[in-house]
Amino acid sequence: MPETNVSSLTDEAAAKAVQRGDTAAFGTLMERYGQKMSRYARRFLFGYEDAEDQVQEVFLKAYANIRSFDPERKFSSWLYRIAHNEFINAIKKRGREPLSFLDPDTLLPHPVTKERTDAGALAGETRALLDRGLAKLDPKYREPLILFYDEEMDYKEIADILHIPVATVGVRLNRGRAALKKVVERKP
Amino acid sequence: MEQKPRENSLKARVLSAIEGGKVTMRPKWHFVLTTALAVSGAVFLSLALTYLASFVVFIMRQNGSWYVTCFGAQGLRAFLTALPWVLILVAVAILALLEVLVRRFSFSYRRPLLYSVLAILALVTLSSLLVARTSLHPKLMRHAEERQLPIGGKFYRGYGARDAEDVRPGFVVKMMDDGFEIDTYRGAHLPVLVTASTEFVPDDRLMVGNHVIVFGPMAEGRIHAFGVRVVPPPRHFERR
Repeated sequence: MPETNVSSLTDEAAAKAVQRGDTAAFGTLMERYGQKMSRYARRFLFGYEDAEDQVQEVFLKAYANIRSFDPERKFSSWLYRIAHNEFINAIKKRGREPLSFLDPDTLLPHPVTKERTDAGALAGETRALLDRGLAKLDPKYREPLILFYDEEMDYKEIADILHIPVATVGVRLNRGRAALKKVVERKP
Repeated sequence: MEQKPRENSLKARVLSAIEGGKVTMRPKWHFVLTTALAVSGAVFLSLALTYLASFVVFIMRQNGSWYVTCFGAQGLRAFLTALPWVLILVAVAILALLEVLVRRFSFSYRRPLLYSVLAILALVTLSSLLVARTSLHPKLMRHAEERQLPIGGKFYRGYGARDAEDVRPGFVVKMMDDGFEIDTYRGAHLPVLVTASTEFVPDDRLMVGNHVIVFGPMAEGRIHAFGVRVVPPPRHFERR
């Protein structure tokens, strides 16, 4: 049987191969996303000692549920969605940070803010602030900031990962930036 | 470079768990079944909501409170008092459950919650008004009154027997100088006192045989009418 060169496959094709039982293809996906997931976990679960364990859980869950993945869709969004759910569960379990059950941001329509309005200098400023104030932010604002600035996702991808309206992504990013500035200015 | 060993360790641990059988792939049918259950649940809850809403419309039309909002603040108060609030709370709970189910689909979560709630309410309102026009509830009510409805009979008899305060539907059977008389659905014969302040909708041209909703308190054996509204009798209504 001819061996498939898994490393040349797209994420979606590799996932399809995993669905057929190709474990090596899953290893390839892990190589591609391991570092990203670890970074996402470290930034989102700031101060949680078991962030790396959570990343392991993400990949184990991804493998267990790989047959729910539709190869017509984007693999990264699907994987990040699993990661989001795992990390939120970790936050809930610890009980250190409040998580609202019903979020007012998602209830009502908001005007859609232009994406990348903070290109260039403003993005640089925000990234610097992120390093200094991220841990103090509400998870509701911390996560979209990480996905936008660290993982460089667009509004639509973030909306699909967090299961919120696209306009709400813009609202949270704006509020997150404002909250970040306040937090950093307050620090001694 | 420092990351590589950690990554390899993570990959090794996960692949070891997979190859050791500690984690297995869920079969495709599991996800198909989950989605099918979610869709069926949503359909079932929608039907339940439609049924409940159409039942509320039915009993409020039956007891006449549906028609009194045209009589100002007093009419509005009578309407609100007559609403079956327990059923409405149950409907709100069903709506919340339906939202939870529907929210897993992108057509729902990509838009504000308000939009999907309004869409569901619009759909349910339309379908419940359509159902209320059928003979479903009148037939079930009749079966319930004849004790031929083992499931839901008590429900129909309970809500069907509730009169709205100061609201009486009936048929005009006699015209008099200071008012008229009506026969209610239960066969009661009630005189109605009309005064200068009595409001008529659409107008005061009342005739014997008209189906009316009389709004006003009972005093000294007569209904002192705040308002009288001529409306068609309920569909599939059988006068006894």
